[in-house]
Amino acid sequence: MSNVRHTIAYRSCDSVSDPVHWELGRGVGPINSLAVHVSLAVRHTDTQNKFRTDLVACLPRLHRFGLTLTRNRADADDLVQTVCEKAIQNADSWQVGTRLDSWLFTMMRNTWISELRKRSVRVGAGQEDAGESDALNTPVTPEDEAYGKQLLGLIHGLPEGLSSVLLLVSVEGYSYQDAADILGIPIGTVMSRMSNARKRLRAALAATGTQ
Amino acid sequence: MTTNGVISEALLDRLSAYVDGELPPGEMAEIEALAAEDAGVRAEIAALRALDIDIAAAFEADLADPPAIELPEMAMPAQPANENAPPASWWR
Repeated sequence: MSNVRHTIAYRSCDSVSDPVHWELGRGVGPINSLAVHVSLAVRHTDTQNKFRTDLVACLPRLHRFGLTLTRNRADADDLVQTVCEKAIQNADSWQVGTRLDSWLFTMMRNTWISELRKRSVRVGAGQEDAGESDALNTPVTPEDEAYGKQLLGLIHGLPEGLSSVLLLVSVEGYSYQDAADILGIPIGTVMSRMSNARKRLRAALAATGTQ
Repeated sequence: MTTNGVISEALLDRLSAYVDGELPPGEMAEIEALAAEDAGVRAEIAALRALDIDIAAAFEADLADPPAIELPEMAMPAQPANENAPPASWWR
Protein backbone atom coordinates (compact mmCIF):
# COMPACT_ATOMS: atom_id res chain seq x y z
CA MET A 1 0.00 0.00 0.00
CA SER A 2 1.25 3.43 -0.77
CA ASN A 3 -1.58 5.54 0.43
CA VAL A 4 0.35 8.68 1.17
CA ARG A 5 -1.50 11.63 2.53
CA HIS A 6 0.03 15.00 1.90
CA THR A 7 -1.04 17.48 4.45
CA ILE A 8 0.46 20.87 4.19
CA ALA A 9 -0.27 23.42 6.83
CA TYR A 10 2.40 25.98 6.23
CA ARG A 11 0.10 28.82 7.20
CA SER A 12 -0.37 27.56 10.69
CA CYS A 13 2.72 29.45 11.74
CA ASP A 14 1.82 32.68 9.96
CA SER A 15 0.44 34.48 12.93
CA VAL A 16 3.79 34.08 14.63
CA SER A 17 6.25 34.46 11.78
CA ASP A 18 4.39 36.73 9.41
CA PRO A 19 5.85 40.21 9.91
CA VAL A 20 2.66 41.85 8.66
CA HIS A 21 0.53 40.38 11.41
CA TRP A 22 3.32 40.66 13.88
CA GLU A 23 3.85 44.34 13.29
CA LEU A 24 0.18 45.19 13.02
CA GLY A 25 -0.58 43.16 16.08
CA ARG A 26 1.89 45.15 18.12
CA GLY A 27 0.85 48.46 16.62
CA VAL A 28 4.38 49.27 15.64
CA GLY A 29 3.20 51.74 13.05
CA PRO A 30 4.02 52.18 9.36
CA ILE A 31 5.29 48.99 7.85
CA ASN A 32 8.41 49.06 5.80
CA SER A 33 6.78 47.96 2.58
CA LEU A 34 10.02 46.78 1.02
CA ALA A 35 10.80 44.56 4.02
CA VAL A 36 7.27 43.14 3.96
CA HIS A 37 7.51 42.52 0.25
CA VAL A 38 10.78 40.69 0.66
CA SER A 39 9.58 38.58 3.55
CA LEU A 40 6.39 37.62 1.69
CA ALA A 41 8.46 36.72 -1.35
CA VAL A 42 10.63 34.48 0.78
CA ARG A 43 7.59 32.79 2.22
CA HIS A 44 6.09 32.28 -1.20
CA THR A 45 9.34 30.76 -2.37
CA ASP A 46 9.20 28.35 0.55
CA THR A 47 5.61 27.54 -0.31
CA GLN A 48 6.51 26.99 -3.94
CA ASN A 49 9.37 24.74 -2.97
CA LYS A 50 7.08 22.76 -0.70
CA PHE A 51 4.50 22.47 -3.43
CA ARG A 52 7.10 21.32 -5.94
CA THR A 53 8.58 18.83 -3.51
CA ASP A 54 5.16 17.36 -2.78
CA LEU A 55 4.33 17.30 -6.46
CA VAL A 56 7.52 15.40 -7.24
CA ALA A 57 6.77 12.96 -4.42
CA CYS A 58 3.41 12.24 -6.09
CA LEU A 59 4.92 11.58 -9.52
CA PRO A 60 5.25 7.77 -9.35
CA ARG A 61 1.65 7.40 -8.17
CA LEU A 62 0.45 9.99 -10.66
CA HIS A 63 2.18 8.10 -13.45
CA ARG A 64 0.68 4.82 -12.27
CA PHE A 65 -2.79 6.37 -12.33
CA GLY A 66 -2.00 7.72 -15.80
CA LEU A 67 -1.21 4.20 -16.98
CA THR A 68 -4.67 3.05 -15.90
CA LEU A 69 -6.33 5.95 -17.70
CA THR A 70 -4.37 5.85 -20.95
CA ARG A 71 -3.38 2.16 -20.89
CA ASN A 72 -0.40 3.24 -22.89
CA ARG A 73 3.02 4.19 -21.59
CA ALA A 74 3.79 6.96 -24.06
CA ASP A 75 0.45 8.67 -23.40
CA ALA A 76 0.88 8.23 -19.65
CA ASP A 77 4.33 9.84 -19.79
CA ASP A 78 2.98 12.81 -21.75
CA LEU A 79 -0.01 13.07 -19.46
CA VAL A 80 2.18 13.30 -16.35
CA GLN A 81 4.21 16.08 -17.95
CA THR A 82 1.08 18.01 -18.91
CA VAL A 83 -0.48 17.61 -15.48
CA CYS A 84 2.70 18.78 -13.76
CA GLU A 85 2.74 21.92 -15.89
CA LYS A 86 -0.93 22.56 -15.19
CA ALA A 87 -0.46 21.90 -11.49
CA ILE A 88 2.29 24.47 -11.27
CA GLN A 89 0.34 27.00 -13.35
CA ASN A 90 -2.76 26.48 -11.22
CA ALA A 91 -1.06 26.03 -7.86
CA ASP A 92 -3.15 28.97 -6.62
CA SER A 93 -6.34 26.99 -6.94
CA TRP A 94 -5.16 24.10 -4.80
CA GLN A 95 -6.70 24.43 -1.35
CA VAL A 96 -4.07 24.18 1.34
CA GLY A 97 -4.96 21.44 3.77
CA THR A 98 -6.68 19.27 1.17
CA ARG A 99 -5.02 16.26 -0.40
CA LEU A 100 -2.63 17.22 -3.17
CA ASP A 101 -2.73 13.70 -4.64
CA SER A 102 -6.52 13.81 -5.04
CA TRP A 103 -6.29 17.22 -6.69
CA LEU A 104 -3.64 15.91 -9.09
CA PHE A 105 -5.60 12.73 -9.87
CA THR A 106 -8.68 14.79 -10.68
CA MET A 107 -6.65 17.15 -12.85
CA MET A 108 -5.13 14.17 -14.64
CA ARG A 109 -8.52 12.62 -15.32
CA ASN A 110 -9.88 15.91 -16.69
CA THR A 111 -6.78 16.44 -18.81
CA TRP A 112 -7.05 12.96 -20.27
CA ILE A 113 -10.75 13.39 -21.09
CA SER A 114 -10.05 16.63 -22.96
CA GLU A 115 -7.11 15.02 -24.74
CA LEU A 116 -9.40 12.21 -25.92
CA ARG A 117 -11.91 14.80 -27.14
CA LYS A 118 -9.19 16.64 -29.05
CA ARG A 119 -8.10 13.42 -30.67
CA SER A 120 -11.59 12.43 -31.71
CA VAL A 121 -12.07 15.86 -33.29
CA ARG A 122 -8.70 15.58 -35.05
CA VAL A 123 -9.24 12.08 -36.34
CA GLY A 124 -12.98 12.28 -36.79
CA ALA A 125 -15.75 9.89 -35.92
CA GLY A 126 -14.91 6.23 -35.88
CA GLN A 127 -11.73 6.89 -33.95
CA GLU A 128 -10.46 3.70 -32.47
CA ASP A 129 -11.13 3.36 -28.79
CA ALA A 130 -8.09 4.69 -26.97
CA GLY A 131 -7.63 1.56 -24.97
CA GLU A 132 -7.85 -0.98 -27.73
CA SER A 133 -4.56 -0.91 -29.52
CA ASP A 134 -1.78 -0.25 -27.09
CA ALA A 135 1.09 -2.24 -25.80
CA LEU A 136 -0.19 -2.53 -22.24
CA ASN A 137 -3.35 -4.23 -23.39
CA THR A 138 -1.60 -7.53 -23.75
CA PRO A 139 -2.99 -11.04 -23.50
CA VAL A 140 -2.25 -13.22 -20.49
CA THR A 141 1.47 -13.44 -19.90
CA PRO A 142 3.27 -16.75 -20.25
CA GLU A 143 3.16 -19.13 -17.33
CA ASP A 144 6.81 -18.75 -16.46
CA GLU A 145 6.37 -15.09 -15.63
CA ALA A 146 5.97 -13.96 -12.07
CA TYR A 147 2.47 -13.98 -10.68
CA GLY A 148 2.46 -10.26 -9.93
CA LYS A 149 3.51 -9.44 -13.45
CA GLN A 150 0.82 -11.71 -14.82
CA LEU A 151 -1.78 -10.11 -12.59
CA LEU A 152 -0.68 -6.61 -13.59
CA GLY A 153 -0.96 -7.64 -17.24
CA LEU A 154 -4.50 -8.85 -16.57
CA ILE A 155 -5.36 -5.61 -14.78
CA HIS A 156 -4.12 -3.51 -17.69
CA GLY A 157 -6.04 -5.76 -20.04
CA LEU A 158 -9.35 -5.11 -18.29
CA PRO A 159 -11.98 -3.23 -20.30
CA GLU A 160 -11.50 0.52 -20.26
CA GLY A 161 -12.44 2.25 -17.03
CA LEU A 162 -12.02 -0.73 -14.70
CA SER A 163 -8.35 -0.54 -13.78
CA SER A 164 -8.48 3.12 -12.77
CA VAL A 165 -11.37 2.41 -10.36
CA LEU A 166 -9.52 -0.64 -9.03
CA LEU A 167 -6.36 1.37 -8.44
CA LEU A 168 -8.11 4.23 -6.65
CA VAL A 169 -10.21 2.00 -4.37
CA SER A 170 -8.15 -1.13 -3.75
CA VAL A 171 -4.68 0.40 -3.80
CA GLU A 172 -4.96 4.13 -3.15
CA GLY A 173 -7.64 3.54 -0.52
CA TYR A 174 -10.23 6.02 -1.77
CA SER A 175 -13.86 5.62 -0.79
CA TYR A 176 -16.33 4.93 -3.59
CA GLN A 177 -17.53 8.52 -3.35
CA ASP A 178 -14.03 10.00 -3.58
CA ALA A 179 -13.12 7.72 -6.48
CA ALA A 180 -16.36 8.73 -8.21
CA ASP A 181 -15.48 12.40 -7.74
CA ILE A 182 -11.96 11.96 -9.13
CA LEU A 183 -13.19 10.01 -12.15
CA GLY A 184 -16.35 12.03 -12.74
CA ILE A 185 -18.61 8.98 -12.67
CA PRO A 186 -21.58 8.03 -10.46
CA ILE A 187 -20.87 6.18 -7.22
CA GLY A 188 -22.98 3.26 -8.44
CA THR A 189 -20.66 2.91 -11.41
CA VAL A 190 -17.68 2.71 -9.06
CA MET A 191 -19.43 -0.05 -7.15
CA SER A 192 -20.30 -2.07 -10.25
CA ARG A 193 -16.87 -1.58 -11.82
CA MET A 194 -15.16 -2.80 -8.66
CA SER A 195 -17.20 -5.97 -8.67
CA ASN A 196 -16.83 -6.39 -12.42
CA ALA A 197 -13.04 -5.96 -12.25
CA ARG A 198 -12.74 -8.51 -9.45
CA LYS A 199 -14.94 -11.06 -11.21
CA ARG A 200 -12.94 -10.71 -14.40
CA LEU A 201 -9.58 -10.96 -12.66
CA ARG A 202 -10.61 -14.03 -10.71
CA ALA A 203 -12.01 -15.67 -13.82
CA ALA A 204 -8.83 -14.89 -15.75
CA LEU A 205 -6.62 -16.18 -12.94
CA ALA A 206 -8.74 -19.32 -12.68
CA ALA A 207 -8.44 -19.81 -16.43
CA THR A 208 -4.66 -19.65 -16.21
CA GLY A 209 -4.67 -22.04 -13.26
CA THR A 210 -3.14 -19.47 -10.95
CA GLN A 211 -6.00 -19.20 -8.51
CA MET B 1 -30.46 -18.47 4.95
CA THR B 2 -27.38 -20.02 3.41
CA THR B 3 -26.15 -20.09 -0.14
CA ASN B 4 -25.96 -23.89 -0.39
CA GLY B 5 -22.65 -23.48 -2.13
CA VAL B 6 -24.04 -21.29 -4.91
CA ILE B 7 -23.12 -17.64 -4.76
CA SER B 8 -25.23 -15.51 -7.07
CA GLU B 9 -23.83 -12.66 -9.16
CA ALA B 10 -25.88 -10.25 -7.08
CA LEU B 11 -24.37 -11.58 -3.86
CA LEU B 12 -20.88 -11.36 -5.37
CA ASP B 13 -21.53 -7.68 -6.11
CA ARG B 14 -22.58 -7.13 -2.52
CA LEU B 15 -19.54 -9.01 -1.21
CA SER B 16 -17.31 -6.81 -3.35
CA ALA B 17 -18.82 -3.70 -1.78
CA TYR B 18 -18.66 -5.41 1.61
CA VAL B 19 -14.89 -5.95 1.50
CA ASP B 20 -14.54 -2.27 0.55
CA GLY B 21 -16.67 -1.33 3.57
CA GLU B 22 -19.10 0.43 1.24
CA LEU B 23 -22.42 -1.22 2.06
CA PRO B 24 -24.90 0.64 4.27
CA PRO B 25 -24.47 -0.41 7.94
CA GLY B 26 -27.55 -2.65 7.89
CA GLU B 27 -26.31 -4.53 4.85
CA MET B 28 -22.81 -4.86 6.31
CA ALA B 29 -24.40 -6.60 9.29
CA GLU B 30 -26.48 -8.82 6.98
CA ILE B 31 -23.35 -10.01 5.20
CA GLU B 32 -21.61 -10.64 8.49
CA ALA B 33 -24.55 -12.72 9.69
CA LEU B 34 -24.55 -14.64 6.42
CA ALA B 35 -20.80 -15.23 6.62
CA ALA B 36 -21.14 -16.50 10.18
CA GLU B 37 -23.31 -19.38 9.04
CA ASP B 38 -22.06 -20.00 5.51
CA ALA B 39 -18.55 -21.26 4.83
CA GLY B 40 -18.95 -20.54 1.11
CA VAL B 41 -19.54 -16.85 1.81
CA ARG B 42 -16.56 -16.77 4.17
CA ALA B 43 -14.40 -18.31 1.47
CA GLU B 44 -15.57 -15.73 -1.07
CA ILE B 45 -14.79 -12.86 1.27
CA ALA B 46 -11.35 -14.34 1.99
CA ALA B 47 -10.71 -14.75 -1.74
CA LEU B 48 -11.71 -11.15 -2.45
CA ARG B 49 -9.42 -9.88 0.32
CA ALA B 50 -6.55 -12.03 -0.90
CA LEU B 51 -7.07 -10.72 -4.41
CA ASP B 52 -6.90 -7.13 -3.14
CA ILE B 53 -3.55 -7.82 -1.49
CA ASP B 54 -2.27 -9.31 -4.75
CA ILE B 55 -3.63 -6.37 -6.75
CA ALA B 56 -1.85 -3.88 -4.51
CA ALA B 57 1.39 -5.86 -4.78
CA ALA B 58 1.09 -6.12 -8.56
CA PHE B 59 0.44 -2.39 -8.92
CA GLU B 60 3.69 -1.64 -7.06
CA ALA B 61 5.55 -2.48 -10.25
CA ASP B 62 3.98 0.51 -12.00
CA LEU B 63 5.63 2.85 -9.50
CA ALA B 64 9.05 1.77 -10.66
CA ASP B 65 9.91 4.01 -13.58
CA PRO B 66 8.05 7.31 -13.68
CA PRO B 67 9.12 9.50 -16.59
CA ALA B 68 11.61 12.30 -16.15
CA ILE B 69 9.57 15.48 -15.83
CA GLU B 70 10.61 19.01 -16.65
CA LEU B 71 9.00 21.13 -13.97
CA PRO B 72 8.46 24.69 -15.12
CA GLU B 73 9.20 27.56 -12.76
CA MET B 74 6.26 28.82 -10.79
CA ALA B 75 5.43 32.21 -12.17
CA MET B 76 2.92 33.11 -9.49
CA PRO B 77 2.91 32.64 -5.74
CA ALA B 78 1.53 29.24 -4.82
CA GLN B 79 -0.92 30.76 -2.37
CA PRO B 80 -1.72 34.43 -2.78
CA ALA B 81 -1.61 35.71 0.73
CA ASN B 82 -4.80 37.43 1.66
CA GLU B 83 -3.52 39.35 4.61
CA ASN B 84 -6.96 40.69 5.48
CA ALA B 85 -8.52 37.26 5.86
CA PRO B 86 -9.25 36.24 9.42
CA PRO B 87 -6.66 33.68 10.49
CA ALA B 88 -9.36 31.24 11.58
CA SER B 89 -10.47 30.62 7.99
CA TRP B 90 -7.18 29.79 6.32
CA TRP B 91 -8.02 26.12 5.79
CA ARG B 92 -11.24 26.71 3.84
